[in-house]
Amino acid sequence: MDVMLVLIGFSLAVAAGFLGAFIWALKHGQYDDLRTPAIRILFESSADRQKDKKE
Amino acid sequence: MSDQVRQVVRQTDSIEVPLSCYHCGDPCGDGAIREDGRSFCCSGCQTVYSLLYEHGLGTYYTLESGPGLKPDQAHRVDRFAYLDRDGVRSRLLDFDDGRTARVTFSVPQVHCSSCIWLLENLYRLHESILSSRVDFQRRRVSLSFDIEKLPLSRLVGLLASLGYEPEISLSDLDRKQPDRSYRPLYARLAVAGFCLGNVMLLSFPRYLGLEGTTETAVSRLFDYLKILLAVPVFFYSAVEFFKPALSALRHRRVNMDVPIALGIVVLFVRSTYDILLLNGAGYIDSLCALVFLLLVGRLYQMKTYFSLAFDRSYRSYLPIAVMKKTVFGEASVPLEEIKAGDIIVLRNREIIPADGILLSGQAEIDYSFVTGESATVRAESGDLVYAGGRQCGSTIEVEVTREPSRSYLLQLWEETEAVVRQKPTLATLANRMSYYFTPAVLALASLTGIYWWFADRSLVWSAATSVLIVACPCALALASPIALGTAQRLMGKARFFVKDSDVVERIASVTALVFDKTGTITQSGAAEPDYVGRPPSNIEQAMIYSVVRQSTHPLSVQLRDLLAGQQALPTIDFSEQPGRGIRAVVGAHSIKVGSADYVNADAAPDAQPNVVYVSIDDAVLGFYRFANRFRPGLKEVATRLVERFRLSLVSGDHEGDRSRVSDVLGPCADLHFNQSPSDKLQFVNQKIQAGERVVMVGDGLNDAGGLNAATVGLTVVEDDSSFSPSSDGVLSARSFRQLPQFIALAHDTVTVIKLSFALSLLYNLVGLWFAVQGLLSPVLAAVLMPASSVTVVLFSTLATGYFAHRRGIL
Repeated sequence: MDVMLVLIGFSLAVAAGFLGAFIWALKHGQYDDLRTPAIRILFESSADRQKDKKE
Repeated sequence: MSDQVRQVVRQTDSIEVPLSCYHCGDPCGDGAIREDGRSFCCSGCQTVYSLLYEHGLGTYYTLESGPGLKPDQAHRVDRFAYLDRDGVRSRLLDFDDGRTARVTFSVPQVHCSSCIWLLENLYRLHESILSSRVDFQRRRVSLSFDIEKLPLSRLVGLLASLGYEPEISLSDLDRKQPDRSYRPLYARLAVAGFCLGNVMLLSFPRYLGLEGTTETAVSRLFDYLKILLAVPVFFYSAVEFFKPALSALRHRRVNMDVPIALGIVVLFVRSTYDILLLNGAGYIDSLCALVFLLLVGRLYQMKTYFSLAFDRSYRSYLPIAVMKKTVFGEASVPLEEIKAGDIIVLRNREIIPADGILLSGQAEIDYSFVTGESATVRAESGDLVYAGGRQCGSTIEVEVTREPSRSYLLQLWEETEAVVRQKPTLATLANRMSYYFTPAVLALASLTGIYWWFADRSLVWSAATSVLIVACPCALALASPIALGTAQRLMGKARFFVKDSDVVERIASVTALVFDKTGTITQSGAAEPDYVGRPPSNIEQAMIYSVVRQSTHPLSVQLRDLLAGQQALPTIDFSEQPGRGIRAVVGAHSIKVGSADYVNADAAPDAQPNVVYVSIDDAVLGFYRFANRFRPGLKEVATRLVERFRLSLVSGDHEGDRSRVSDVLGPCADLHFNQSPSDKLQFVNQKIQAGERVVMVGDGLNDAGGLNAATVGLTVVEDDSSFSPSSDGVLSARSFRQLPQFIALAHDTVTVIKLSFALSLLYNLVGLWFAVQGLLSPVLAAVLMPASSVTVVLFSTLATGYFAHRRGIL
């Protein structure tokens, strides 16, 4: 049964890690704008754009 | 870009829509300019196109078709010079270290992915722009740039030349930080969710009745861990409910948060006591579930429409700076420094910032912000002009008679603000419920305690606290936000945007509707043309068409559209007198189109705006009248509304339209004309004092008083980004005909809330049945409380959705 203690401590630590990651993301404005990144990701990458410029 | 590449472009883009502008997508008409095999409607569009192609920004046109905006070329280059003044610049910039600066602008023109792409690639257009980022939801652009090489005025000039002129108004000077109020709620919800999941896991041995079989040490450890997990929920997540509860108690009121806070405190204290002192199980799982679900309810309430501004103050209508005439010429001066006696110069499309006397120039002023009337008003030298009007046409000079801060516009606004301060806040249904609920629960808990004091003293504490726990109105508190939030979202999908979910509840209580006329029940821009006089022959129509197509005056455009399809004849000697009319020679005939005195006609006795006279060879033919057209479906809307509500109309216009309005709104409607903005305010106020709940529907700043005084103020807008005064809701003109359905849905939503209340009280009664007997086990509480909440959430969402469907809103 002692292994349970280790496992529970471990699982809590992992979960707390994810909670911490979420709060970090929140504090750094990852949820400030939920629409523009969805559009921005469809633009061609900057490498392709460089090519486009040389033509 | 080399010619060779343009050649390639020409070949690959052989599929070309002939008559729409490659840049802005508008129809080009006959005057199309061609470049690279593409057509442009004007030289402005073509210039932007060339500029973008030279800098390798052609992708702009491949993301969306015709994405561009017509750049406004009528302005002077130096009109942004005021931005470089220290007092203005430092208040606009977010950050400035002398070399690199960062600024955030509101650019309402941003509308598609091409816009985002171009604005984020501005660094390729000018090397001093380091980076730029668009927030599409809020229509904002933040730019970092080298302020040494690129002054702020030139940066704004560059944006304006591309058609993305930032909206810089007086209210931007004292900019607030971007709204981050959502963050604490998200964090609280995340903490509560994290703790809930783990607590439920740790409660499993208890749920399954295994605590006897497992080692006691492990089971004790689980219980202690649960307390540990409850601490952040209680001291961090639940603060969301403690704060409003405390502030309500401090004002000697009771709101929904009071019984909830009470329940949470009792749950926490009782559970800690049970676990630490009695080796019991505690109700930590119920506590976490309660806080988590209630926070989800808060999330529902938080829906905001970022691109709409519901709280515009007069400051956002006024420019930051104006051109002042001095002995040295013209200089742009911050508005705050303008004093009575100064002479200011206003160009086409600029807003008059202060009341004054027109000194020179032909003023054609659009007071639509102030009065809602779209027809422009003419003023001659010596006439008074008022702040808030927009000059259309040539440049004028105005001598300021009152400082901007003492203008009529501002007085109007302050009058409005005073009314709003007096406006009583209506208690929401949920708060009225808790007014009765809280004392009832406290009484029941005391009675239970007293009973057990005599029956079995060991159960006093547990039975009394159980009553408080189980009676915690979690489901009750969820019913309102979920139902109202759902209704708000569904209305938003149908293009009726309300400021917050409470507005839905207020709409449901309405007994009377008050409409403004121009721009509200009539369509701005669209007009119902009719013609009075000798009918022009075909060739005469062609001659009129050939003349008016050369003018951009709104009435010329309407007349051109009316005569569209006529042959365009060559004209010579075209001349336009701003505010009066146009003339030209077609073949051997001289054509004049304009106001009555311009063509020397005897004006009809009931002279109206929006009338265009025509004369050929100085013989008056007749006149076209462009009366405002009522919104489609207005008659049905009125017929449906009049069955249940009292309808009134308050209009700033003259009586001329009384019979037409009466025809459409029906004989029961109460019509008032010639109403000044403060008359409208008084009218609404009187109704409210007579006990009515009023919805005021308006559009202009002249309605602002009425909109603020009304129980619910709604503005009607042609497109979502247009200027609207502050209000509780924004109704898109396209959805105007659904107004009765929206009101009906608000009623349905309140019905749904009442049913949910009944449902949750049913659960409460079952729980109380066990609680008063001292039989509420932790497992029972852990099942009963979330079950009631989930039932109510599901019922509220589905029932509101069902009603919206039945009302035909979706």
